[in-house]
Amino acid sequence: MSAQGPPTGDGAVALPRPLSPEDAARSRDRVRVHTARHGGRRWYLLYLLVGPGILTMIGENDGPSMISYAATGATYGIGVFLPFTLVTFAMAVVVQEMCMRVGAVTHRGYGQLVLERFGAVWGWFAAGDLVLTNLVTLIAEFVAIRIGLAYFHIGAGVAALLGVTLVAFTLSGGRYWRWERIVLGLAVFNGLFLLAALFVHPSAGAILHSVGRLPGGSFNTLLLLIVSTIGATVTPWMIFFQQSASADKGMTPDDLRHGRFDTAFGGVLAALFGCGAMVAGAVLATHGGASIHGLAGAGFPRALERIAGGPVGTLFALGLIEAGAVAVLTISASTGYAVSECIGAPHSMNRSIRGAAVFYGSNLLAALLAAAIILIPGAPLLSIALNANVLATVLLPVSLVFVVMLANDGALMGRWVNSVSHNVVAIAIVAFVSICGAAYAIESFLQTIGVI
Amino acid sequence: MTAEDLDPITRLELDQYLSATSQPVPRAALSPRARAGLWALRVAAVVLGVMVIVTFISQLGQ
Repeated sequence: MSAQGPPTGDGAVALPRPLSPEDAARSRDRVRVHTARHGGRRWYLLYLLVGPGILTMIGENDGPSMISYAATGATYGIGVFLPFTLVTFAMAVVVQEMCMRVGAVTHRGYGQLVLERFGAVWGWFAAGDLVLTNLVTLIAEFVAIRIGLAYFHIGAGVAALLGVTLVAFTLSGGRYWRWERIVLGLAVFNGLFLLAALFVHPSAGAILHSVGRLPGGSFNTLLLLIVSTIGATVTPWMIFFQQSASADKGMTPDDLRHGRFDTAFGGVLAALFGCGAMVAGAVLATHGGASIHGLAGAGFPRALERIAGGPVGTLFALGLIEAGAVAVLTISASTGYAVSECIGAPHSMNRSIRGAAVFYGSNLLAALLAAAIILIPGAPLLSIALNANVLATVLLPVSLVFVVMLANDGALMGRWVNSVSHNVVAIAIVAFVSICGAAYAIESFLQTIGVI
Repeated sequence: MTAEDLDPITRLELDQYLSATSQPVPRAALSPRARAGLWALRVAAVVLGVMVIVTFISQLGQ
């Protein structure tokens, strides 16, 4: 999409008057970017433009993902999964760069573009797919907050209230910039997992020695671990969120270099912190890690406390609270973007609550529903937490295919379409994720119905 | 002439204004092969999604 508007008779350009509140808010942010860019303030410019990429990547280092990394480390050691996790983060960076680019060039969210470009059926299919996986994942996020708080003897009610209050508070400002900065501030604490890993004093030699060793167990178990690891790094909500947030932030093609840095830096941080959780969990591998239970209680942090000391348990518990909280904010935001984009309702954090009632309402409703479910006595929280990443992976190919199609859409993207090499990598990622997801779904289903 | 020349407080690109982004982009012209591929993807996603949900529900009963 070029920046040229409709010319008037004298060659001037017709601008909308007066500016809508959404345009005015976004324009204020762009003035700062413009001033920093033309004033040569490189670091300040970077500070202004980072956000969607880091939030997406750290947001996906969520409660179930960190539990999954730590459980993998505890059950199988680091083995093949540490390098595999790094590969999946590289895959995530490739996918998310496309989302950022499409959002910055078209100024439209993913849901809106799929709906308009491919029709209502596909738009609703994508949004329905996302809402389903988001609700399951949000429940898992509240479970993570609950596990973290349970370590400090705080109950499920507080976990539910904390998550919902955070969503309501961060949305109350009517500015994308304010929301982004608050969530970025919270996301810093994802680094607690790295601190936890350092506190267990891992041996570099032992880590290197174990890298590359395949875990034991059945083919189905191996598939589950692979699919969970993919689901912990590339998910449908990330695609919706980063494209919509890049557009809402007001990014333009001039910002693509910074957007790429934002995405790659977020990927590096998330990989570092995720591997931190895996290394911290691996300390349990030689202490009956495979038999650790109690996800609905404070099982993991308590087990770490017993083996590696109180500080490690505390750091891990605080990390789980942060991971769950940041993911509740980003995933509920992606739900709000998806729902309102697909029904053509206003969808921007730069609008007032009254001006974008569907966006804010669906954002808050998603968090409220998930919070309510963790309060149901006897709800299968463990099963939900473990299956959230798997479901996301199985439904991911649909979203990935559309991202690749949009990034190759010359009418929308102009000279910013994917290069040939980018397409080769992107198609390989789609094929790999599709095969892994399908293989696990089919294998598990056949076992369930007793065919194998 | 750009938006900046007309209004010094405005730094938005012209296709970034709400009035522009509210206009739908035209439908993509898909080839029959692409259309068939997307239908296959839709069917596969529904079938696999049902498989995962059935497996999940059966795990709950165990």
